Order: sequence, then C-alpha cells, then structure tokens
Amino acid sequence: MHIADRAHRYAAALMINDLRKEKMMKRHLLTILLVLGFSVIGKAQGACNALDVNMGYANNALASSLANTWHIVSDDMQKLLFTPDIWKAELAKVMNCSPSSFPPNWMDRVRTNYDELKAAVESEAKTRVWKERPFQRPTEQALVKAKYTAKYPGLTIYKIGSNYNDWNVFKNSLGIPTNRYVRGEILIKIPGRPYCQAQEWVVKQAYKGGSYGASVAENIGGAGYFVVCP
Amino acid sequence: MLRIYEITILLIATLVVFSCGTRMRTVALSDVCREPSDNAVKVEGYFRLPQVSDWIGDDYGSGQYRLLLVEKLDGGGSFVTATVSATGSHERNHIDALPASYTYDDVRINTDSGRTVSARERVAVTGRVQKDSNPCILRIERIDTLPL
Repeated sequence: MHIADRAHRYAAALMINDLRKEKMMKRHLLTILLVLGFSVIGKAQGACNALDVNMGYANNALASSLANTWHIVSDDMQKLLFTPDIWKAELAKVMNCSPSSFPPNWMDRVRTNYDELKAAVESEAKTRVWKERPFQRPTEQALVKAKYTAKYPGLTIYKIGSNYNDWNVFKNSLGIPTNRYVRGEILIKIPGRPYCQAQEWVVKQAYKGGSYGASVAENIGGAGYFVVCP
Repeated sequence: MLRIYEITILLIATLVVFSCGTRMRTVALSDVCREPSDNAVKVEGYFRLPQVSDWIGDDYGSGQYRLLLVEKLDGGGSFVTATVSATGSHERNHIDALPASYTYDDVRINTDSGRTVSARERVAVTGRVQKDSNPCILRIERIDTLPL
C-alpha cells in the first residue's frame, strides 16, 4: 500500500511537472512569436533603405539646376521644392517604408542647395518674362498640348510656339536621314506649383523605308524654368 | 620540340587572356566619377531606385532607366547614378520594364548569364563612365551576379 501510494504520488508529480513544462514551452513559443511579429512589423515600418543615397541623388539634381544658367528644374525636383511632403510620401512608397520612418532631419543633406534654388526660382518667377517663340506649328503643337493635358490633369496652358518654321532633318554620318523634328516651348502652370513655367517640347518623326513615320512628342514634362504668369 | 611549341602557345594564350582582363578595372563606387570619361570600369553593389526613375527613351519601345548603384545592402555607403537598358522580354544585361507605380520589390535585373535577380542581390556591373553631367553617370553594359 505504501509502495503503491508512493508510486501514485510520483506519477502525480511527474504529471504536474509535465504540465509545468508544457506551460513553460507555450510561454516560450508565445515569446518567440511575439519577437518575430514585432521584428516583421519593425522591418515593414523601420528605417527606409537607401534614404541617404536618395537624398544624395536629389542633392545632385538640385546642384545641377543651380549650375544651369536658366535654373531649369526637373519635374521631380519641382515636387521636392514646392510639395516636399508629397515627394517624401512617394519616395517612401518606392522604398517600401512609412514616411513616419523618415528621421526629422531627413532634408539636411539637401538643405543648402534646396534653399538656394528655391530662392532663385521664386525670384525669377516674379521677374523673368517668357520670350514668345517665333513660329506656330498647329499640328505638332496640338499633339504637344494633348500630351501635357493628359500628363497633368488641371494644367493651364497659356502659350505655345515653335523655334522652327519647318522640319529639321537629322542625318547620320553617311548623310542618310534618321529623323526630322521641330522644337519649341510651352508656357504652363501645373497644379500644386505656385508659379508659371516654360518647358521645351520636341516632336519627332522617324525616317523609315523612304518616308517619315508618325509624329511623336518626346520627353513631355521633363523639366522647366520659372517665369512670370501672363 | 613540339613540347616547347605547345608551351609557347599556352603562354601566349595566357598572356592574351590576362592582358584582356587587366583592361577592365575594378574600382570602388566612390571612385567611379574620378575615372576619365568613356573609361570602362567594373564595380560591385546593389541596385536601388530613385524617387523617379526616369525613362530615358522614345515611344518606339527602346529606352533606359536611371538607377542608383549603392555600396551596401541597407542602402548605405557610396553610390553612383547608373543607366540600364530596359526590356519587356527579360533580355540579358537589361532591367525589366517597371510598372507605372513601383517599389524596390519590382526591380528585376537580367544578368549576363540569363539569371533574373532582385535588388537584394549584390551584382558586379561593367559600364562606361559618362561625364556629360555632374556627377558622372555609369552606362551599364554588363551585369553579373557574385558568388554568395
């Protein structure tokens, strides 16, 4: 009886021990899952990969605009100058991170060039008058206007003109035409940008098998310089 | 006599192979723009996308993307701006055309061996230094994966 009682107690103790072990294992498992979960969330919302190099890239673009006599600013850098929060959100999206993950001093790397270019652009937008282009090319200009309107909903087109009265033929080193083009400028105001700007446009026709192909408007909305609104 | 002839041929072949190899200089990312214009260089790094990866091309389907080649996987360290030809058909040494709205996860690089790799994989690229803009741009001609 005594032996049976001891055996029973021993079995009960083993069972309690097993239960404790199971409880501890469950606790450990929960801890591991929580740590993993937080690390995944942390990664998703964590530091933005390549933020610094992207700001370095932006700084180079701002420096390039500053070095340009006309202070031509790319569409991308215009967004940074006038709507930095939108630019930031778009960059965060590319980097797969949250804009809230950006450090508070995220613009430090571009600050000097940013301030200098913004001041220059603001001054020119109030003083520089756009010089009208000498010619009109209604067919090509209509194509350009349509492309601009499609690219920037809500855009205002004030004026447009061509630098050339006729097509310019581009030939290769053998003297064979490769394409022909006309080039001009358009005066516009893009929604969200506080000033008017002039942008260059090019319409090209490729030379194929003895004749020229359809007109193609190239690099629509690439960059512009700021001028007084008419 | 034949043995000497064989050895000479082997030596010449080795010299040719090694002299060709030395023409391609491997440089650090931070030193790319110190190279003379049009120099061919080899660099290692990871591809990253800028906020706007300009499509430099025409409406006829051919074009290039402007990307960043960065030193470290976490996007840190030095970087160089690079242009890579784009493709709609997984061509070697090209990047697959990006969707209108993209993230780093959309980067698909087709290497010289025909493998498609992501932006997480370190690559060795060979390209020519273009100094038309400041700082320079590396026009990429060949992309290789590196052994893990």
